Amino acid sequence: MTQNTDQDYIEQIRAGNVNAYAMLVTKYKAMTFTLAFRVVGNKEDAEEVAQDTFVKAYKALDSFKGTSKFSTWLYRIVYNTSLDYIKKNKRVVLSEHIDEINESDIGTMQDAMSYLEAKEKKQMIENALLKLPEEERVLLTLFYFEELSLKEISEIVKISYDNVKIKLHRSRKKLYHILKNVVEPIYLNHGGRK
Amino acid sequence: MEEENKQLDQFTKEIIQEAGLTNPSVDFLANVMAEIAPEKASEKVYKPLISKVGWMLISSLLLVFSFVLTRFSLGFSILGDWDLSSLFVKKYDITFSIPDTYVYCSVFLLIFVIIQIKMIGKQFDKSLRE
Repeated sequence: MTQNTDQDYIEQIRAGNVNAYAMLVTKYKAMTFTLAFRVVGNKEDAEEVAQDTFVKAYKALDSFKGTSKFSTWLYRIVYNTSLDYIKKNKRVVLSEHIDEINESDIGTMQDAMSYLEAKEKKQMIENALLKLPEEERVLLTLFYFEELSLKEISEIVKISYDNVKIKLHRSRKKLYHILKNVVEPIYLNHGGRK
Repeated sequence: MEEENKQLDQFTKEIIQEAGLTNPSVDFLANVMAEIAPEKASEKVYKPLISKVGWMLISSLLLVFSFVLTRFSLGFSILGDWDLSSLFVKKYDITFSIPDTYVYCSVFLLIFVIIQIKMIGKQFDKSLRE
C-alpha cells in the first residue's frame, strides 16, 4: 500500500473530504505545538496558537500553491501567529551575554549533562531555550530538530540566508552559556571536576 | 576554532534532539476539527442556475432569431389572422392594435419564467436534501 503524501491529502481536502485534514493535523501537531510553545513560552497559550494555526492553514489551503513543502508553509503560519500573539501580550525576552568558549569547556559540559536524569535534562534544556529570544529558539528547533535547510528556515522566518547562519551561530553559543550556568554548579556540587 | 565550532554544533544538536517535541493536549485534534466543521458546512459553493453553456445557447438563439427578424420578412405571421387586440375591441369597443413582436416577446418571457420557476424549485429541493 502506498503512503499518502501531504499533497494527496491536500487534493482530498480540496475535493471536499474534510476528514483528510485530520491526517495532516495528526502528522504536524507536535511540531506545530512545539514551535508555538518555543515562541510564546507556555503550554496554554501554545495550545491556542497551534489550534489557530491549523484553522488558518485550513482556510488558506486554496492559496497553497505547492511551490514549497506543506510543512514549510505551515511552520511559517505558526511562526507568524505566535509572533502576533506575543506582540499582543507585549513580552520582552532579555538576551544572554556571550563569553568565548573553548573545546575543553564543551567536553566538561557534555560530562555534566550526562549526570542528569533524562526528564530533568529535558526540563533544563526547555528552560534554557526559553531564555533565548523567540526567533533563536525557532531557528535552533528547525535546524537541529527538524533538520531543515538554511534556505527553508529563511523562508519560514523571513530573514536572509546569511542572517540565519549568523543567528544560528550566535544562538548556539548563547544556549551553551545558559546551560553552563545552570548545569555546572549542580555537577560541581556532586563531585564533578572542572 | 573550526574544531570548536564543530563540537558546539554537535553539542547543540544533541541538546535540541534531547529536548524533543512537546505534545499538545489529547483533545487537540478534536478541537481543530470542531472549529473547521462549521466552516465547511457554511461554505456554499456558488453554482449558477443557468450554466455558461446554457447562457451561450440562449444568447446565440436570440441572436439568430433577432437577425432573422430584422433582415428577412417571413412573409407570414405565425399568429395567422389571430389578433389579440380584436378581443378588446369587440368587448370594450376601443380601437388599438397589439404588434405581433409584442406577442412573441410575451410568449418567450412566459416560457422563460416557467423554466426558471421549475429550475429554482429543483435547486431548492436539492439544497433541502443536502
